[in-house]
Amino acid sequence: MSIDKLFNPESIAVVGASRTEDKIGHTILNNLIQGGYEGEIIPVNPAVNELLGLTCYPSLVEYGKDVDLVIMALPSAQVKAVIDECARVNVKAVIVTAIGYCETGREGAVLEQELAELCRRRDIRLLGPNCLGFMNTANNLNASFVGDMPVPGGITAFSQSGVLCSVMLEMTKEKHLGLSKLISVGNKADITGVDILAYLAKDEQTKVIVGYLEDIVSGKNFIKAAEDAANKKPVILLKSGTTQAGVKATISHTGILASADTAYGAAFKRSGVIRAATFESLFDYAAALSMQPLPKGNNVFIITNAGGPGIMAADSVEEAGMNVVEGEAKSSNPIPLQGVSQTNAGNPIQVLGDIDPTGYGNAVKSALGDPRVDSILVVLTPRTMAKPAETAKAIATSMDGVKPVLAVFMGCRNITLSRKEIIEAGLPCYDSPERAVESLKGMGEYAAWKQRPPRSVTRFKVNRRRVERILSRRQRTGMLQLGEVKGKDVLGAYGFHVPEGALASSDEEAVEIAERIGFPVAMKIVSPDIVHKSDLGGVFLNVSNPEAVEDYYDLMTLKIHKKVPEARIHGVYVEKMAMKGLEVIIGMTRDPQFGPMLMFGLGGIFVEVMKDVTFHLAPITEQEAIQMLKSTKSYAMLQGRRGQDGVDIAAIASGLQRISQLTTDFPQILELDINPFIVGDFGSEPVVADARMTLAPLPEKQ
Amino acid sequence: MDYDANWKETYKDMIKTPKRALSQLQSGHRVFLGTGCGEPTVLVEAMTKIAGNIADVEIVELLTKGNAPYAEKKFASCFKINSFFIGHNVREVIQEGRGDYTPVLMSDIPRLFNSGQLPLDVALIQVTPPDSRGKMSLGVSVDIVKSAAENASLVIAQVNPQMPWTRGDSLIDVYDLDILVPADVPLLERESKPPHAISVKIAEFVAGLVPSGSTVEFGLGRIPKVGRIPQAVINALKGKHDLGIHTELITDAIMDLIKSGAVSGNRKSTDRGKVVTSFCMGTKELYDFIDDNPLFSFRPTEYVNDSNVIGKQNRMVSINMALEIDLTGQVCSDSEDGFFYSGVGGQVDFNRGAARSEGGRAIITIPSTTTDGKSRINAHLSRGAGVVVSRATVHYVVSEYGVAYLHGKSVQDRTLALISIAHPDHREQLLKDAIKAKFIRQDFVEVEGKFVVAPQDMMKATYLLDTGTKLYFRPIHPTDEPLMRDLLYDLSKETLYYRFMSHNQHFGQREIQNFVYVDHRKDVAIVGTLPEAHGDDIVAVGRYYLDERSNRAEVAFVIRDEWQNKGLGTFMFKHLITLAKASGIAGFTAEVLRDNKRMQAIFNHSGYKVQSSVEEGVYSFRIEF
Repeated sequence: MSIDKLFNPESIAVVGASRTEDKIGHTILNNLIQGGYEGEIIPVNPAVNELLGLTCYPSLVEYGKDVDLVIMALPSAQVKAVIDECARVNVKAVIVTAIGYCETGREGAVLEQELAELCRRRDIRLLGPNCLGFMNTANNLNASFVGDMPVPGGITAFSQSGVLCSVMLEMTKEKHLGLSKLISVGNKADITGVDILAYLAKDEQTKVIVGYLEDIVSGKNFIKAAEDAANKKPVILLKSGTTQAGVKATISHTGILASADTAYGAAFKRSGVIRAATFESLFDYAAALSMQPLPKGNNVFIITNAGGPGIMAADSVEEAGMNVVEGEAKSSNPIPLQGVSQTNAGNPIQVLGDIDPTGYGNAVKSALGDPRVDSILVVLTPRTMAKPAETAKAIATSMDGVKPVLAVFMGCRNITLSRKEIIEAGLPCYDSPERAVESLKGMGEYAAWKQRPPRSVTRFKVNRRRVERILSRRQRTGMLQLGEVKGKDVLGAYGFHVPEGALASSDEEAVEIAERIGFPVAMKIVSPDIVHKSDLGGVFLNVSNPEAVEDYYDLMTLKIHKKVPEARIHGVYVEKMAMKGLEVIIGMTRDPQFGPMLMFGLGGIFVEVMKDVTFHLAPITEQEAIQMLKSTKSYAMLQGRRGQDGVDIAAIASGLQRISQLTTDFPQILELDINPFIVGDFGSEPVVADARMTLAPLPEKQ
Repeated sequence: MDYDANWKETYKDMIKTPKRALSQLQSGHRVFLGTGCGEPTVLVEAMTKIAGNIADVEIVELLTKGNAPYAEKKFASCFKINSFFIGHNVREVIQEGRGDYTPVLMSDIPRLFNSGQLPLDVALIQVTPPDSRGKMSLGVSVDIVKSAAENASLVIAQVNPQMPWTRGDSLIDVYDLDILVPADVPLLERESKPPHAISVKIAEFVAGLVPSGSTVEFGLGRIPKVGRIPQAVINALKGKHDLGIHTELITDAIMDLIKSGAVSGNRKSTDRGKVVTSFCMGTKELYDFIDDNPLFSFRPTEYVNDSNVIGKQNRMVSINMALEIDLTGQVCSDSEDGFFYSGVGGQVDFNRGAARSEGGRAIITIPSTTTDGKSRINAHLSRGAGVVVSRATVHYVVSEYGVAYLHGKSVQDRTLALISIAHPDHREQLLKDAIKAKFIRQDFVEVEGKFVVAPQDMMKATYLLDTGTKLYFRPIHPTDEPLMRDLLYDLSKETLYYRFMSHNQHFGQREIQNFVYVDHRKDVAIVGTLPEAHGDDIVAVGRYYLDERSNRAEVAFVIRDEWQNKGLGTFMFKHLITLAKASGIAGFTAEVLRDNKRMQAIFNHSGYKVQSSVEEGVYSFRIEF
């Protein structure tokens, strides 16, 4: 059932309405009345006849008519009984404010589950429990005990935390941002963040969605709802905390490098959600996105009245990966600023002299007209002639609604006084260039995401059945760690290039294999009890003659036996030496919420020390895979440097896509590392030099 | 081999009865059966028993040695055969259209499984019990069984202590199998029959093409009513030494060859000292012989049949069989009388590999006729005949009438070469057909009736020069036409003048044909040859022509200028006398120019009674035997 009636009810009953002012039952009723709600308000309290000028009923049934929304200001113990009554008057939705549910522990969780189940059976949608209700400025409905109604606007904010709901309300007031709705989701026993996102996506009053999340119930549903919403309007989310399930034992590189937070980052990236790092930035983004159009490109033009702050702004722009459109001195074809006397044309920013507000207006206007400019950043500092408020207004009137303009007022105290008017004029303003640039960057990324090509995931022809049989047998026998031999077998079936090799169980066999595949060969110990082969002297590379193969075989087994006497040794894997090339790591770790997360990083210190890796959720498209490579800091290494040729980027991307297919096809693969994946020149197939996987145990038989 | 004595206890969770194991088989499944004598008989029996409960089970196999009860007509709705090679036990099923045949290079079959293109639901295989490490050997059949077992969703293994443990790449981990069915039963055996007389004749020619130190492959398949020609070749190789073996199938005959001491493998370029093979069919004696025998290396088909691997072997000789061949060299070997008969097998793999091998030889053997007298060498392939080796990749073709080398030769040369190894009764007709098909020039009409291939045995001889060079003498052959032309154009003016007594001798097509097409009775010609890259190089030609009225033959010969003065003339003269005497000829006549002192010397010093007279500068000789 839709949750529309929750936000747009024709009648609202407050069960547990109270005459005691401190009580929630009183505050909510008062808020409803004060907010100006025009529908029927029905206080319910068997002990009282009248409340705040409204007739009070002893029970819902006795009101005698149907009720759309019921707000329960009752302790948890009394809630269930009222739900039954709700059903009799055709209630569509309830808000349960009571605490003592999931947040208190196991008993509370059971209670919450029962409540949710009861509502489901009665066909009633439930907001909460443990929530503060919501506000809807569209119909003057303040069904909460958060505070007074905010100014109407295009931003809808929701939060899992009730306290932060109040903070959000205060913050928007302080920033003079208008709200459409403010929703306290609470424990989300029924209505979850996903439902809210789905609803807000369709809600006409909501132009920008802002949310605070602690956890997500279903990663898959979240991504779908968030992507749907982001396709229609900007979604800005702040995520805190980590999931319990995210903390797990891991032995793979990928697993070690990924945190639960990485998964959220990847999920947000996939679904076009703008991720806010701080509470402040939530509304920085919201301000810009609710007032300004999206930029069409990365070229930022900076107008300032001071060199220093201008350069700070330019640095932030460059750091954020955008371009500063060059000013006069450097450019052979500068942006002409009509009607402005340019006393000082700096680089790469446009520094104007101490001019009057109209001058700024004109400067913005002419810059907007230039095709080389995608967005404008105006940075103002207090100078003699600067009149921040007037200047802001002049800028606001010059805006064309096609290209975004953001303003930074640094240290302009008197501006705070007129901030309300500036905001009303539609110019987002910030205290520092960094914050403005961050918002601009978020807008740019969101704009790029919106223009993304349709996601088309390549399906490679693979031998899925072979993998299935290998994995199911391993699960059946409880050998859940796939070492190099089986790992390569699996990858080979999925089209990876694996060096020719075979397992030798005697020195004689090792020589025979080596001669068959050709020298030089690599020799690696195979034991289910040894994960890090090379640490124990279980790897010899570039073995180039039969005598050496024989010697190393004996040496290796002897050494390992001495160091780890209990290890079961299956033999030595003899394989053709992989070609020389750039070593990269590709891998996957499965997030309990979001499923397979793919990783890419350059081998060696880049991963070990600098942790320069990127993650992406599977399934992945070719463009996304290439984007993964590009977003590492070490990307330059792949492109070739100091006279060395670059490597075949598309070949690595293809490897990532194949892992994506493999791990999407087989949910029992928990972790996978291809380390190193050796990438050579253009045209050569990358080679899986070593690989490892971890499988999930079979579910216990009932 | 030391097996894990407690294996039945160690792996008891995996052990099932044949009936329980096969109950996993479901309608619509594709089932792979272990190859040849490695066929898991107990499992096949159990599968046939449940025929009533299942439908549309596709049986995929290479070839099986058992009696294939599942192929019986009454099970048609339960089991559908899809074979990569048509063995005797499924031939009828496929020829009647109840079963299917997948023509494919043997080397490609593992890739069908590995890539997932031909997914297998179940594999029924036979293995040895596990050793202490949990490894089992695929025993007598590694071939495509290994890749099938590596890819099938469910692998049911008949675990048989009577299965020999084979060395090489034959091991499989017990945990890579699903169900173990213990069975202590004898393996299927294959008795070999003594080779057919025609095979023995062909084998002699083939043996001549296999020098000691070669590595040999003996192809699969059989010729209806003649049997396996390579079998006979194996016997014919016993006099060789240091042979190597790299072949798909090991038989009792190969064991005998090994025991005879002809095989050492010491001159192999790869796998030195090893007999490399992928499966084995024979008697218990053979199975005992290969058991844990380090001489043998059983490898999967993807290695044994890889033409790159084969081609790396120096002096690799592949010996395969054809059922029909056309005059352009297209080799049919999977069909007979318009029906599928056997299969592609490894013929293409080995033929190509041997052709690439340094010093290698790719040989196709063929009996000249069927047992009811129809020629197997025809101008055009019969309707329904399948080409296995194309005319571009064929090299040697050997019948019981000799050897034809076709590679790099024109259609005309091939045609003549193949006619010359066809059965004599069919040669005239083949020549007519070839003219009609425009395979050869129309003026060959002229040689009709003269297309005779000489009996080989007595006319052959060798002559060792003082320099140690050996020259080979043999009767002239219709395929010698281009060589003959080379010889004549290379002769010096003087030599030409001495031979033809004219300064303006012109050699047209007709004249050269007259040299080459002889009936070997009245008209006898022998050539002295040296082996060259292109075949033989003719250095000398000797000829006599019988005048039946006088029972004397006119003799003449010509020797390349650079080979004159080496005693060749005398040798040829004597050899021709031997031949003539054997034909009951009373003597020779000859005309020699007065200046040709050498020729005169040969006659005068022959030791026979020689009369001579001179007239107009020409000596007439008369030699009495």
